[in-house]
Amino acid sequence: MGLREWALGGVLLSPLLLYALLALLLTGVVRLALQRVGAARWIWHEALFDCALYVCVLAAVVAALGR
Amino acid sequence: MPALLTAFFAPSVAAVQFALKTLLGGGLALWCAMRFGLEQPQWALMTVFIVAQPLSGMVVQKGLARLLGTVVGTVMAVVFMALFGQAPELFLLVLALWLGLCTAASTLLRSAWAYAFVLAGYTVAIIGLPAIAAPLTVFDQAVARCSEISLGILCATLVSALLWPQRVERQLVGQAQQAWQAGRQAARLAILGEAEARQGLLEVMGRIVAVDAQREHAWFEGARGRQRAVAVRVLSRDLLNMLRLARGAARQWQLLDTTEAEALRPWREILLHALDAEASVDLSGLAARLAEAAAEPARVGVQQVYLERLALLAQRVAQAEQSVQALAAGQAPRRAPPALSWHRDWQSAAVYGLRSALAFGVLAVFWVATGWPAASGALLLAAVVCSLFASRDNAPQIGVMFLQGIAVALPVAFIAGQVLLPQVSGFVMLCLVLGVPLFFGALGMASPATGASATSFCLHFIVLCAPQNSMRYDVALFLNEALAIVIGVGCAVLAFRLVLLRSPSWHGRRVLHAIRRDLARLTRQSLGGAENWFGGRMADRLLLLARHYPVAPGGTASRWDDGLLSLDLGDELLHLRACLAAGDAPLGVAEQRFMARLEQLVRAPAGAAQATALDEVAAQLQQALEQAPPSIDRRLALAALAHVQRGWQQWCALHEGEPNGIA
Repeated sequence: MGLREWALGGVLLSPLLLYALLALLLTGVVRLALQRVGAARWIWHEALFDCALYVCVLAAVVAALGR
Repeated sequence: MPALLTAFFAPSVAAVQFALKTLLGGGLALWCAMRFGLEQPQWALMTVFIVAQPLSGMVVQKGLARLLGTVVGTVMAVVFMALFGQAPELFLLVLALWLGLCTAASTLLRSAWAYAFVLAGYTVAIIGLPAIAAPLTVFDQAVARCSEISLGILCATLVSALLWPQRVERQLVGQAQQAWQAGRQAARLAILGEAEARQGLLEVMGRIVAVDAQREHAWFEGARGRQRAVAVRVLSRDLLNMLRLARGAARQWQLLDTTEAEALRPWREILLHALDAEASVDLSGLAARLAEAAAEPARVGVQQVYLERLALLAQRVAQAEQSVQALAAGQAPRRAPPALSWHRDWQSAAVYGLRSALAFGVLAVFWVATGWPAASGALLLAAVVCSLFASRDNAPQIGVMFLQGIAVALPVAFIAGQVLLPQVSGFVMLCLVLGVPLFFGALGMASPATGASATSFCLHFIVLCAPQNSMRYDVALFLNEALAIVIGVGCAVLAFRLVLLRSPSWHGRRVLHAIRRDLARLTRQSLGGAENWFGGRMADRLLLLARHYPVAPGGTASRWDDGLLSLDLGDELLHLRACLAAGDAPLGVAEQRFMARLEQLVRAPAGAAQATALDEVAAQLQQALEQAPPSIDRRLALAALAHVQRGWQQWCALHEGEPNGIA
């Protein structure tokens, strides 16, 4: 798709906004999967972990879709 | 969600009155702001919704705090802009530091006036951020902000005082009665030395603290409100005094052997009956009878002291009863003690301040890096949320409720602001379009369950609609603003989640350390306000400890026991000092040396080795007391001295094996 703006009814939307939402969704999925597997109990600071995970996923999404 | 449905579709009369009051005040403020041609009429409207509270004293107090904070904030904004106008990065850095400082100060203050510091912090951001691009406009912004806030406060106060006024001071009487009942009950349990005493103690302490929190608001409700505010201070002292003596009597009871206890049991029963909720007993008469019984020649030693302690307790209960009556009648007793003192925690305040500065700093970097104009809105909102809810224990939850309110406000504001408003004209139609959603918002504000979300809904609805004399409709601007709001609050919630002080053991250690410092100070604090100073702080801290350490079944020496033991030690020390002060001839050097030694010992780490360290000075003081002519005060002082010594030994035993003490 590339890093191009999205036109929504004449309003241009930043692609990062869409990537951010997508990453949020993916992070939720990954987090649920971790919970299922049982790896979640090894997390020390949950909020910090979630935040870091989100940044990683967002970076991955941008790297994958933004080229 | 029955609570949610009742709040909106079957509200109580009080809630509807509140909503109407708020709406009328808002309409008045908006009309004035538009009529006077002020730059941002939405600020006046928002202020009305922010200071809107059910009781009129609260509105005045919050309004004044807001005004004070706004004035300081505007001045600081102009000063900062004058100093750092040419260097936006430096300006943002200073702003972050200022915000952190104000958040820390408001956390430390622990009173309703803390709100002034919150305002002083984020007002600088509100005025300064739009002025970064054009530093010369800062003065206009400052004047506009200040005048519109004042206008909003004026309108809200006016309406809340004129329409269905509900006064804090009336509520205060009911709350004080409840505290008095709880105090009697807790005193009963304490005398019996029962296991439920902890719950009773916590309940009455919670009530004393709650009544004291209302005191500041009642002060703004005319002469009688002020009298009642003073009476509350007296009542807190008497209740704390009563609890202290009841617990002291129970300690003395433990020293009696079985036959002595049997002999004194009838007296104890009489006093317990007098403390019963329904009983109406002449307490002063009872105190006199107890004192007479103590003076009988057959009574010796511990028995006599026990009866004297009961007599003193009965006297204090009578005094507390008078204070409650004085409060109900709205008369301020003369020579009132100073207000309750609070536990202050520098470390938490510093961490919370840093958290605000950090959240602001991160968003500022985001703003500068992206150059997205709407990001300043996110910056602003993060500053507001971070400083407003910093000191709350449930800050992350409140933040999420705030986000919920925004989620509702976005679509509603889109329909009202972008679809309906362009089709109408005139002030009446504007009020109609804005008023309907705001009415429901105000209804939600009246119920505690939906309060935070509803307040957030109202504020963001107003911001997103931005009523002005010449309206501008711009969907792109709306979307940008909406996005910025979500990012700002999200960032603040993230900061709440990431930086928190949830380590209970650390918190407990801090509290106990502070208790120790106060015990040391108690050896030389002037006696006049000592009851409210020590009692208030201890009540606050024991409540904190109870929250961090819920009763663990079968738990051994817990932090809570530690706190309770410190309370015992402090109580007996206070009692000892009161008895010594009541004696006619001062004891001079023996007393001074005892107090100095105790202060030194309490400050240093405790351990089994120190258990006997107090014996020498205590023996000297005992000798001095025995040589002086005998009196009731001397006898009570001797008993209190023995209790202080015993308390100290228990304290040393409890801290055995902690190389660094509790610090």
